[in-house]
Amino acid sequence: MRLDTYKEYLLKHGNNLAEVKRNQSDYTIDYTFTRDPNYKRVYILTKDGWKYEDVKYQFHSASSILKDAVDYYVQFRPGIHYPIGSYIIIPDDTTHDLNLSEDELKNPFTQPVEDRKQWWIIVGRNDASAYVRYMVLKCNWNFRWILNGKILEVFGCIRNANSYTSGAWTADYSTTLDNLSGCWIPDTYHVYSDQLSTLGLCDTRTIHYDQRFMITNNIINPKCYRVTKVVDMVPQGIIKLSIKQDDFDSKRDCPELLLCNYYEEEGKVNVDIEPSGDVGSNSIKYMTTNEDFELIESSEELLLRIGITSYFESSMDSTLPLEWKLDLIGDFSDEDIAYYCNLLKVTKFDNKTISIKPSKAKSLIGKRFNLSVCDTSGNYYSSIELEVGE
Amino acid sequence: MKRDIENIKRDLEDKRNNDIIYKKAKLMEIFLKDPDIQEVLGKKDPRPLNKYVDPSNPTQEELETRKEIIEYNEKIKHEQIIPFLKLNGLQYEVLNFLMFDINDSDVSYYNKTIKTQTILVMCLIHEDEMDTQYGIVRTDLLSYIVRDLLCWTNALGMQLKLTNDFTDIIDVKYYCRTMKFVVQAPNTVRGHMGMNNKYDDFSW
Repeated sequence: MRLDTYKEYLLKHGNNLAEVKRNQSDYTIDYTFTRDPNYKRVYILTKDGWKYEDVKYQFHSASSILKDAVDYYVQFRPGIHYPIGSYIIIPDDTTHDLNLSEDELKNPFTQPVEDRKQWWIIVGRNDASAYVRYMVLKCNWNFRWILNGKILEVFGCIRNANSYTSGAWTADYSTTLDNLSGCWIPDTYHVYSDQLSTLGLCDTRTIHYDQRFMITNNIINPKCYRVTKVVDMVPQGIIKLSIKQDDFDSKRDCPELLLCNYYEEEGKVNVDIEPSGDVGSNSIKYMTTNEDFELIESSEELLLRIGITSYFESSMDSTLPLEWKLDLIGDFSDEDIAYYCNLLKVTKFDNKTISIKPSKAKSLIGKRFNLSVCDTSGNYYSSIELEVGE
Repeated sequence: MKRDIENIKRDLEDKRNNDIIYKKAKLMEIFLKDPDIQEVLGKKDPRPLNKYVDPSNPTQEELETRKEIIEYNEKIKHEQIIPFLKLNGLQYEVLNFLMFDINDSDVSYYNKTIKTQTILVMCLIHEDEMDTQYGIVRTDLLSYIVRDLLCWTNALGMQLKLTNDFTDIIDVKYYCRTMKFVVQAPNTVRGHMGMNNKYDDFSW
């Protein structure tokens, strides 16, 4: 063998001994990758869509009731890397496969939130050892918010902010809630850039200070939080939010949909609904109270009177939430329409019953309004005309 | 002169025992009678009860809804006009308050039988309720009504004079407007309102 052929042979394995050893280890790890009990076949979201990937799923630190949920390590095959903030679905001890149905495999975001027990996000990268390992954190909450009439959501993690406060803060004349918590969510735009809508993701950059979230399993006494701190650079790819407990606003928040600021004002939904034709028969009934203060159907069509509450009920079959709307009839400027409609206080009791109370504004007398109701699918629609009297 | 402790005879029900008690009752009566105060305080209407389809045999769901409505109706009964200045606890149903109290703040330099009384009326409004449908801030609207009811009237005997009407931020959630009315009154003189105790007589 000639000297330069031998040199070339040696250089194939690396320029120096470190590279040779590294290449040999890479080969061994890659070759034996699936022989490790820690091996799992995971499903990971990349810019090009969901794909299978091989990982070693490794213990990192012990879980304890004294601290938050801990992160785990995942190690990809040598030379394979994914950005921090990527979603990764890792099979758990119950099965070797993902708990996704065939349809859900095409788009795992169609999996109901309560079934998403295997979802993680990459939250950090450990460069310390020879083999890069990524830290992953289990997702446990689907954060939902409203932006410009659209409901946005992101699956992320609730973190404890170790708030050893009393939970209430008393000032001179009032008491407010004072509990702190944290959320970690992927910076979806940073990770998936302009592929967001194709992948079915929402842009988490739109979460800003004072954004309110409902984070609770308790729809009787829901807990709401307000964002007080946004950290989106440590590390890049994850947005860490500090949230402070905020009062539940029964007028504006919707516990059934776990959405804060769902109602713009009482009865008016903050989310765009597009009625789609099918106008149902007239289903709005005038209601009144009997001597036991029970709500009964009124035998006559009543006037709205200033300072007095009137009741209406819809007899629609729809089980979807109903949206009630009042429109001023006549030729008025936009300002006047907004002013007069605002003078009528609409309170929604349950899905089908509302009350309307005109304020004690004398200018309201004689004004006529169109009261309409439609369900959130837009399939049913019904309306009546009302006049305000003294 | 010593008070005869052994033979005290009091009528605890008589509001005229003390002019502050009496005047507070009067103020409460005035505020409660006003047709607009409750409206401007944003008092919520009770919800009508749900009707049972079969009154003799209501379903579990109907009973639960009824219970919920009754609980709500109980909660909104929370008093909003309060005859003392108080700290508000955490609750959601009632957010706005009209509170008042009376202080004896001074006596006349020349005639100690005449005192100066200060009536403090405080309109405490939650930040979410500051706007009204009338396009007027709720604290301002309430203070207008209070001023309309009291200023330059003889509601508490002598003419009430408004000396202060100032706004304040109570904390992150509450705003308030405090009005201070001043009235001259007899300083617990025998034979006048607030006098049933012979030892209250002024003497040297």
